Amino acid sequence: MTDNAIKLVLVGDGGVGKTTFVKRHLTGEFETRYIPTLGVNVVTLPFFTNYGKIVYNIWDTAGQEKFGGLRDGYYIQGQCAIIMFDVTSRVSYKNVPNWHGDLVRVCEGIPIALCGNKVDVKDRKVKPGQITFHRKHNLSYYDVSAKSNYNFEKPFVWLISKLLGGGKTVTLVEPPNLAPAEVPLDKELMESYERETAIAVNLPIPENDEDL
Amino acid sequence: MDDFETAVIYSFDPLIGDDLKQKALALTNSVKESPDGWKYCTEKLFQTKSIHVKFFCFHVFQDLLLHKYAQLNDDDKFKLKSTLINYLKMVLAVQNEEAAVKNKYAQIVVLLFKQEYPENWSSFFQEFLSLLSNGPNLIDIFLRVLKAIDEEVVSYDVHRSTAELAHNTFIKDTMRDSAIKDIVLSWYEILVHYHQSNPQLANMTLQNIKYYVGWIDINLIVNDKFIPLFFKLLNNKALREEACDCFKEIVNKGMDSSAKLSLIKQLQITEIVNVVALDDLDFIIRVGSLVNLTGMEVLRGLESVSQSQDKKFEGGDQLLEQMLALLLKFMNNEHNDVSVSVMNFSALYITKIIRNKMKYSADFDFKNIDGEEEQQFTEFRKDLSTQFRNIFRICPEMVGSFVHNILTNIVQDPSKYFFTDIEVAIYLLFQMGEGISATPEDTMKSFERFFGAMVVLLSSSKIVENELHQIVALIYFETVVRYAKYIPADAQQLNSILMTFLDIRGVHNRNPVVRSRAGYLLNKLVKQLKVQLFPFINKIIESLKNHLIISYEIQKEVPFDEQLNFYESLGVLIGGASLSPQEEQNYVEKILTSPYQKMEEIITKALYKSDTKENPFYTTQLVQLISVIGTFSKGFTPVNNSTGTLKPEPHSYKIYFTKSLLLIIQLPNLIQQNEEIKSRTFFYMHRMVDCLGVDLKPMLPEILPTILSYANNIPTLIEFIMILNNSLSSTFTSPKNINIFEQILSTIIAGCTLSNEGIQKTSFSIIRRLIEEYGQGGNKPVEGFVKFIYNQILPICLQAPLQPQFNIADVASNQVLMEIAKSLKLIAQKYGDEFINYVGSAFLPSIQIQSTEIIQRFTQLLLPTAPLKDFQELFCKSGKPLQEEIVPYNLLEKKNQKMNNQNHQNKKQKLGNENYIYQYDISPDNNDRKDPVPKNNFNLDYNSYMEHMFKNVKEMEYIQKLEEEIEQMKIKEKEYLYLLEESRNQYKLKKEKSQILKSIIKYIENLSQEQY
Repeated sequence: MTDNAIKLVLVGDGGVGKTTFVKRHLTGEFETRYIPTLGVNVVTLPFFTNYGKIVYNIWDTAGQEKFGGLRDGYYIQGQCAIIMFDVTSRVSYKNVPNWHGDLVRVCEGIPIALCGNKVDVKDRKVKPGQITFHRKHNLSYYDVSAKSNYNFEKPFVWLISKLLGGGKTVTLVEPPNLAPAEVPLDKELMESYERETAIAVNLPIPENDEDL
Repeated sequence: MDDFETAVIYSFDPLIGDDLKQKALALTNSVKESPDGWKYCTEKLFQTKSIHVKFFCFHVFQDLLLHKYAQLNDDDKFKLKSTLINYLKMVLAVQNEEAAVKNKYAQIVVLLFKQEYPENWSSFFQEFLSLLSNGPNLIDIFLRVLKAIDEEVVSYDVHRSTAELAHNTFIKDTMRDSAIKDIVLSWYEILVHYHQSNPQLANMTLQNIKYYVGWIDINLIVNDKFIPLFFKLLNNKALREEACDCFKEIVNKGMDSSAKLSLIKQLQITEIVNVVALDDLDFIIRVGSLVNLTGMEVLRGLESVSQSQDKKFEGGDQLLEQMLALLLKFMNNEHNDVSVSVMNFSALYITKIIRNKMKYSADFDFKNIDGEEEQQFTEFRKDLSTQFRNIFRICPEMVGSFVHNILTNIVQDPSKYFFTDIEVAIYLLFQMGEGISATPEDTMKSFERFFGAMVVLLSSSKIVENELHQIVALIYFETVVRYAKYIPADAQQLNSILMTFLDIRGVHNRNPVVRSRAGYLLNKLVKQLKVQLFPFINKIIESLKNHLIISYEIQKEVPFDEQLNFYESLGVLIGGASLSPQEEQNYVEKILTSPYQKMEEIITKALYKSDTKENPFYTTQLVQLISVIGTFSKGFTPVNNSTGTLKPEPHSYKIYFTKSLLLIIQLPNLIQQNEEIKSRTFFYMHRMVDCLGVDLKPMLPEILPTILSYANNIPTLIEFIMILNNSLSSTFTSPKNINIFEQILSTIIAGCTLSNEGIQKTSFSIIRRLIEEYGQGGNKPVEGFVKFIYNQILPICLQAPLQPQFNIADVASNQVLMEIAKSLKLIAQKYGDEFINYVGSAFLPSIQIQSTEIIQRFTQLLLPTAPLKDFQELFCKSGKPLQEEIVPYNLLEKKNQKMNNQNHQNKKQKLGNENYIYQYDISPDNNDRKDPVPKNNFNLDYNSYMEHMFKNVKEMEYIQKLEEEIEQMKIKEKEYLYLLEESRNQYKLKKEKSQILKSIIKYIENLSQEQY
């Protein structure tokens, strides 16, 4: 853990793959004194960008329902956040508004990225076209796959550009040092998701139609 | 900082070591878990400066309020409440805390509010409102509390239990009655006082209004105080986005259509765009979103007021025009995000136009749908449907709610609408189903429910009255069947849907077109829903009973084809219902007794004998009766369709079908030379294979001769044999039927050489299955079958591809060849060397194939390792060697004749194209005819193929020369013959002359003797 680092809060239902996601980064310093009852694990991740080295302290909060509602103490002084859900679990997407509500109560106006993890799994339940929450609340959305490193750096790069402000274009000058992919990625499938996402962006956000 | 505070801070600090952290946690947990720990926090909250400690205290209160509040006594409750109020007055009012603390405080206060309001804390709002004069800090907290009330009480984003929802509704109702007026007043005051000095407070106020406007009295906001204020704020850069959203929420509020239109008119939304400065992309998108929503609301409002004369809306068209102008302006914006913001409005507008254009016009002639203008319109309608489906794919929810709205409007009072309006609305519903497959899986799921609900809505309405135009009824029935799968499994709803088919709206409609279609679609509905509809079987029979009678009188009204549908439906329902044998028998009897008795009467009394060619009354009835019984039988099989297992015996339905079969089977004999009787008899027997299964067995000796003597259609026969073969193959080969078996086999053999490749292929594939089944090592080996293989199958395998019409270059012929190859290989596999030796040493020589090379090659093809395609090579690649081999055997004569008759040019082409080879080998250097087989017949590679071709050309030139010589020699011969003839004639003449001379000389000699 480094002082002067950016505090990033990583939230989402238990089992969506938050810890696996942050541990992809091999140069990350892991907090070995992980105390499950405390429900947080802090990982320091450096990124080398065209605006210099940026270091995140990622507060990987454990989704322990027992302490539901009390976990927002960890969000205090959070500067940015990632809300993660699992694209193979509809309920994990349904809970995104709850996580978002808890986050903005404690951290008003911080940039938040929404990430749908496990897109490598063939049986995807939450399709790109159905992911609309971020559009109503000004978040940025990324399909990610922790096990195959797909889009790993995207949310971090976007958050840096938001934190720097002024619409700066941030790029990495060095690729993140990631563990080798554990599962092969179906490139065509990812491309089709990207196309669907691109199409979804141009579709109007569905109204909440209670008749349907 | 005391130990407790340090412990709390450590517990939140990831840098603290394990041991220390455990100790810290032990201390903080002891406070959390102790029953009075929260009381300790009521003091700590005031003392600490640490945000973490404040959060810890709030967490303890939160836990108390959510999980332990019921256990507190009144004093405790009072203590908690007064702590929170004191914290407000003593801390929050005085210093500007961090937003996180203020929000957390608001959340905790609202959790308490939910427990106490209104019963024990009815003055909640008055207390807060009275504090607002203290200044911005308190106003700030108040606005956050109101926001937290929205989150904890109103918002639908979070899932809540029914009990909590009920409690929340009660809180909302109480607030509406007693507090909202004052809250709204405070908002107004805050906006007026702080919009310049404290934009943050003003923005929070606007957000409050945005959240609350949906559930409070709209007139509290839409009035001469607020609306001008909003317009003013639209020019304040810090506030304009929230002000814009307030307008949006006002427009979004649910209300009666004409009230909504008046509201929009009153709000002067179209003015907003003129007032604001569109100088920032995010703001333009916000305004675009407002334009979008307003536009859609105007379209929806106009849609529903257009039909109700009493509520006609003044100035609606003008309002729409203004909105359309805005639509174009935003749609055309250089930024795509702005265009997207108004997309739903544009799509809805186009959808509405498409709907309008799809309506049948007054001069559309439904009696002449093939007319030029009618056809043009039908085409146009198709194009519009495609457009509609595209829009549906892009905006499924929008289109869904559009169609839902028009249908609900219509069913409320269909008499207010033209039939074309109703038809087009249902037509759109139908088209949605055609486009649904292009939408994501989840959309499809939600629309399945929608379709089911819409079908129920339509069926229970008055739109399918028979007074309406037939096209309404037709599209209605089509749509019900289209969505049959999604109809909810509710007996009452199913009943109301089914009744539209069964009564005067459907199969008893006075309009024959509707009646006919309803019957046809009823059949489709039954096939889809089957078991679900069985409970209504008695109603269905009752409705159809008159339509089922096979009589000329009834058919004057209900044509026979329609009657067939009814029989099929009833068969499907009864056969698929898994009834007890007795019940099943009763139902079958109910349906079949009448047709059976009629048939029996016509046959036993030989009534058909009174038929004349002009009036075949009874024969026609017989044909129809066979058809209905056979069609009814379609619903019955010995196998349970849902489980795939055999139904338990006894199968009571079989009695009637067997009885009928015994009658029907006599008919081709009784009424001879009647194609219809034959074909219907055949149809019925065909049906019985499925329907009776093994029970057909004992009747086969009676049935098969009839089939064989009357089947003039080989493909049908083969089809029948194959079905029999599948289910009953052992029957064929019983000693009793062995003669029939032979008859069948020769029928199949005949099929092998028909000039139809389809039949040829089927015949050979049946042969292969027969070999498999009945040959050595098969499931049911038949003694003597080997003889059949050697004497019939083997010869036909070579005869078929050697027929003149067999063209190996043709795909169909090629497939036949593959079937043959498979058969031959199967025989070789089963009979091994014995068969291969027979082919090589006896069979091929017997058909004049002498070349050892060809014989060897052919027999090698029979080995299991030889690839199938080598057969093709043998027959095609190097020029039909086998055909040529066998030419002397059957075709030599014809071919020679043909060749002599053709001119040389033709011959040349033919030779070039087909790589033809003469059976007599003539080459320039070897003019020896003794060897009848060309030496190099099996060139497989390209080079030798070309060489061969070249050699052919040379040969051709030589032949041509020879033939020319022959021609010349023939002419010479003729000349010689002529000369010979000439000389003969001259000889004759000379001979005669000399004889005459001789006679004269003799005469003169005689004369001279006399003179002497």
